[in-house]
Amino acid sequence: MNWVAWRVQRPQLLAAIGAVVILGIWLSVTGLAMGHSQTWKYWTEGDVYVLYALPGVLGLVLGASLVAGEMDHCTHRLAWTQSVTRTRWLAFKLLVAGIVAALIVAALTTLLEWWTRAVSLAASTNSGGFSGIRIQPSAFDLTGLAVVGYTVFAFMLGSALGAVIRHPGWAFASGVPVFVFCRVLVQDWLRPHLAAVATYASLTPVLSKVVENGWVLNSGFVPAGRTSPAPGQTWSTGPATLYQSCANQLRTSVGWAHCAVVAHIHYVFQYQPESHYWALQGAEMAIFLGMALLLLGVTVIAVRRWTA
Amino acid sequence: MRTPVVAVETFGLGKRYRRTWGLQDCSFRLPLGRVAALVGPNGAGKSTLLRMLAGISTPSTGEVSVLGQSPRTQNVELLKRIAYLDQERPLYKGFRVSEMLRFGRELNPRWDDARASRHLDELDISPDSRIGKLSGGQQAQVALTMCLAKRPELLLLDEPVAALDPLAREDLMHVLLESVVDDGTTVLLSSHAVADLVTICDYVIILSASRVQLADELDHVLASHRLLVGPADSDSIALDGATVISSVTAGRQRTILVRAEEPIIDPAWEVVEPTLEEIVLAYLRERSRSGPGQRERRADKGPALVDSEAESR
Repeated sequence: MNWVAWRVQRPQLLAAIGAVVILGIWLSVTGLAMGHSQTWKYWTEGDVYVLYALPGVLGLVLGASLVAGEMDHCTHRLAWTQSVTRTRWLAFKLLVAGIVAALIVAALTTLLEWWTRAVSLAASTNSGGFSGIRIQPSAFDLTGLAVVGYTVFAFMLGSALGAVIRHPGWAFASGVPVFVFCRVLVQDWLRPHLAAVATYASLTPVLSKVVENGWVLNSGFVPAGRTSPAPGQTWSTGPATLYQSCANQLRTSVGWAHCAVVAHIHYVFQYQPESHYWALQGAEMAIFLGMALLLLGVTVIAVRRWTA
Repeated sequence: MRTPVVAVETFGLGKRYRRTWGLQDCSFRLPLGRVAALVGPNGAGKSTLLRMLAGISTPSTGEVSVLGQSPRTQNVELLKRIAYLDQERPLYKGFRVSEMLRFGRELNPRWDDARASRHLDELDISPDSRIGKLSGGQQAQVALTMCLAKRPELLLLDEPVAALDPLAREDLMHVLLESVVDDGTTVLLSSHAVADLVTICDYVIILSASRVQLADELDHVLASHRLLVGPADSDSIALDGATVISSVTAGRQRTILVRAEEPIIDPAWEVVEPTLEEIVLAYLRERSRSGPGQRERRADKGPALVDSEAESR
């Protein structure tokens, strides 16, 4: 049964492995070159998005073809009239393709981990938003455990949509917006709160080293004694104008701190420190694996209930 | 598990697709060991019926029993004992023939690899060939081999020879017949080409307009139907115990197909023994036509046909 699952899915799995090997070679070459020269080249901002899209595309392609690919060629009617249950058939297919996909991504993320470190110095110049600081989304989304979660989620999303829609192309096409929506939702709304938010306050808006290596969620002038804007105000309004008018009058950096004292305000950074990296990675992977589990249920039910 | 005396038994079986019925009120009984032909026009519900028997489609209404078991759920015990050939003849086109056989071997405990290899060897189909590169006839042979190697007790074949050239048709039927005789396998095979079936079948099920028109032993079907040929103006004749199935007037001649248990002796009519094809056509014609002359006979025909199956036992 393992052989059957592998053989049926072999073209897609080999294509996925091939694509990742080619990308891996390109990453190695550019990583070494950029690490050596410490200048950002070869990669434009658009190219980096390929890396962000990869787990989703990989998972969706393998997932969408898993069940719907068979339905497209009617081979599910052949498979389901052999001497195994549909559930067993599905379990082996999911397991084999899922393990291969997870291995591909584990290899890729290890490589990306190295690549991110290798190019982090080069990334400071002209890297199109790629910072190389791993708690920040640009690197966070490429490294660690979360990538595995994204891939498994995309894989199950493709499988579930394929089993329901019964057409691989449509399953993939409808999976893309769903995947992007879930990724953005988690990244912008959930991830900042998955671990306790740290704050750093000073009288002037100057990044300290600890904040620089963290992921800044919010920053701005707030009333002294607070770590967030006063009720009815936001990070960018309110006390900032007081400070600005004072600073304009001084026209010199000396004494800006004085302005903050006079206005009774201070500058606060809310951020996730670098030390929260693994906590956030683990929590994010758990969220995506949880969603994948729900989709597994959908796939099993759709396959078991399928009727011509 | 009780030993079944019938291979397939359905009662009031129906399948509803969104708004239309794919099959309606289907009741028949197929005894073990028969080679049964399921005939009817396209869209009559043949594929729908076979899919429900094979367990890949769920009935909307009615009861169905296959080898004494229900095919409704994922019944592995039943799946081991039946084989099903879909009308699309699905195979993995990228597989080699040998890989297709391995697929069968890994998924079926009763798989007979020697038999499969021997079949394909006799047909000169190399195990190294890609399925997608084989001719239509060869692909059909591989698909049939996949079924036969399961050593099924019941073989369900949906249009196994459709779209094949006459030579490939005959080859396939030959392979089928040979294996069936060896094992005593019950076969239910659908076709809309009746001519192919007479030589191999001993049981007939006629399906038309989503309903069973007739289900009976071939011998009894042939013996109990008569073709009456007479002048077009001859009046409705007194035929005791005979049911008129169809009536066709061509020029000055009128041809009537009747079902009667007793011999018909009437000087006004010339009595001819019909072929199976003529009988099948008569049933299909009657159902598909909606002319005013034919309509009135439908009412009394319906129940009589369902009973025919009971009478034959």
